[in-house]
Amino acid sequence: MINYIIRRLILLIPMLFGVSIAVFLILHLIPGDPARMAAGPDASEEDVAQIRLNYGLDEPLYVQYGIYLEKVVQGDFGNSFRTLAPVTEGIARTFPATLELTIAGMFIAVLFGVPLGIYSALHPRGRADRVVTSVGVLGISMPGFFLGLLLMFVFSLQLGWLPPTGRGGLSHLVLPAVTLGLPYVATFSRLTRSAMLDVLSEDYIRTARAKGLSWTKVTYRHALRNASIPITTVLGLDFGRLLGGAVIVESVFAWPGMGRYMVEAIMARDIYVVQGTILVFAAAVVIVNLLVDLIYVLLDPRISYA
Amino acid sequence: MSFLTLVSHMRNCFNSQSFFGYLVCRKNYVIICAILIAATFVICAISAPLLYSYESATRVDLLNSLLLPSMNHLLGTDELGRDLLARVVWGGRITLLVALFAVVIAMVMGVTIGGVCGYYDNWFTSVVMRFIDSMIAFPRALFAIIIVTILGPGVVSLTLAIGISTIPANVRLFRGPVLALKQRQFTTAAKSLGASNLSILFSHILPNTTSLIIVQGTLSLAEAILIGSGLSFLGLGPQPPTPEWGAMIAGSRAQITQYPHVIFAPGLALFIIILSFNLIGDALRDYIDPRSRKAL
Repeated sequence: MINYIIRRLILLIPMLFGVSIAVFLILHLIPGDPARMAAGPDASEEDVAQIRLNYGLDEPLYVQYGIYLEKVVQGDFGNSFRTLAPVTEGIARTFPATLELTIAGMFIAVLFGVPLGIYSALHPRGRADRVVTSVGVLGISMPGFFLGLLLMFVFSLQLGWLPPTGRGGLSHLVLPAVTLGLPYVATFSRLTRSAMLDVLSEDYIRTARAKGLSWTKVTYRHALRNASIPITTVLGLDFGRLLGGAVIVESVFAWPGMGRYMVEAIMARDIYVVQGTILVFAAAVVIVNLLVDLIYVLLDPRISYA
Repeated sequence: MSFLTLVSHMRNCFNSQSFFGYLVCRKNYVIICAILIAATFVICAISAPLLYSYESATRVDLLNSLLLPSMNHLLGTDELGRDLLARVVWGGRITLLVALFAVVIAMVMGVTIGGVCGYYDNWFTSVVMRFIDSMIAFPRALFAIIIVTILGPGVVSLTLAIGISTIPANVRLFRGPVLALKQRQFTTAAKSLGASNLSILFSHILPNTTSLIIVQGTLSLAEAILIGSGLSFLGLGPQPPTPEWGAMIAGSRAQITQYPHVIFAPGLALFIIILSFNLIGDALRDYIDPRSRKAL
C-alpha cells in the first residue's frame, strides 16, 4: 500500500511537469508583450527594456522555462507584474478559501444527493423518484451565477438572514456553498439511485435478506457500501468541476478565493499569477484523483494495490 | 414541393413514428412546451434585427434609466437606459450563435477524432486517447478560461473556447460506438467490396452514429450556453456594450437591491432556454433508445 502511494506520488511528477510545459508555452505564445503590460501605458522604452531584463523575458523560451521550473520546484512561482507581490503568497492567501468553498459545496451535494438517491432507489417509480428525476434537470439547467444572485436576493437582501458577500464564519459560507453544490445534488442523487438499484438486484442482497437481516441493515451495510464505489469515482471527477464552478461562484459572492485571483490576473495579463494558479488547480485535481483511488481500498477490501 | 407532399409531410409529423407524434401520443406536454419555447427563442434570435435595431439595444439614454416595465419598454430599461427586451432579444441572438458554432466545432472535431481513434487502432491513436483522457480529467471551465486567456476576450474566442473544451469529451463519447460498429457485418461487407478505410469510416460507420449526434448535440447546446454565459459573466466573453445574457447580468448586478428585474430578465431567459434544450435532449434520447430510460 505504502509502495503504491509512493509510486503514484512519483508518477505525479511527470504529469505536473507536462502541465507546466503546456501552461508555460501557451501563456508565452499569447500575442502582446508582457513586459509592456507590466510597465504600464505611459512607460518609456528604457523602462520596458529594464523590466524585460529583470524578469528574464529577453532569454529564449526554453531558458525562461528552465529558470521558471527551477524556481517552482523551490516553491517560488515568481512575482506578480501588477503588485510585485510573490505569487506564492497570493496562492497561499487565496487557495484555502477556494478549497473551503469547494469542500463545502461537495458536502451540500453529498448531504442532499445521496439520501435522496437512496430513497428513490428503495421506492423506484414512486412519487419521490419522479420528483427527484424531474427536479434534477432544473438543477443542471441553472447557471451558477444566476442561482447565486437569486439566493443572495432572497436570503440576504430580502430576508436579511445571511451576509451577501465576503468570507468569514459559517454564515458567509452557506450561500456560496449552496450555490456551488445545488446543481450537483441532482447528479449525485441520480448516480446514487442507479448504483443502489444495481446493487439491490444482486444475489447477496437477497441472501442477506433471507438470513433475516432487517432492511435497514441490508440497505446501509450491504447495499450502500457496495454502491459507494461508483459514487466515490464520480465524486472525485466532480471535484474538478466544482473547482471550476468555484471560479464563477467566487466572483458572485466576492469570495476571496483563487478563482478570483486568477480571473483578475487574466484580465491584466499577469502571466506569472495565471501560470501559478493554473498549476495549483491542476495539482489539486490530480491529487484528489489519487485520494479517490486510495479511498477505494478503504471502501472495498477486494481492491488492493499490492 | 407540391401541396400534396406538404400535406403528407405534415401528417408524418403527427403520426406516432415521428418524434413530435411520439410526444403527443405519450401526452408529454412538458416537452412539447419546451420545443415551442426553444423555437420561439430561436425565431426571436433570427429575427432580432426586424424586432429591434441593434442601436436600440446599445444606445445609452441616461434620462430613461432603470424604468419599470411599461408599454414603451415591455421589460423596462437597464441602468444605462437601454431597452431591456431589445437587449434580451439581441443577447439571445449572440448567446445562441456562440453556442451553435461552439457545438458545431465540438461535434465535427469530436466525431472525426473519435471516429479515427476508434477505427484505426495503433500506437498513435492510443497516445492520442491517453492525451484526451488526461484532458477530460481537467475541469472544463478552467480549460475554456485558459483558451480565452490565449485568444483574448471576445465573441470569437468565447466560441472557440467552448467548442475546443468540449472536444475531449466528445472524442471519448464517439470512439465507443465506432469500436462496436467496426465489428459489424456491414463493415466487413464494405471492406470485401473494396471500399477504402476512409470511405468505410465516413460513409458507413459514422452515419450510424447520427442519432447519438442529434441527442448529444442538443444536450451540448444547453451546456454550451451554460458555460458560455458563465465565462461572459466573468468578463471573458463579448465586451460591453455588446448584449450577451451573462455579460448583461454581470453589468447590472449592482442593481440587484432595488431593480432586480434588470437581472431577472436575462437570467430567466438563460434558465428557460437551457432547461428547454436539456428537456428536448433527454426526450430525444428516450425516443431514439427507449432502453436508456431504464438505465437512468
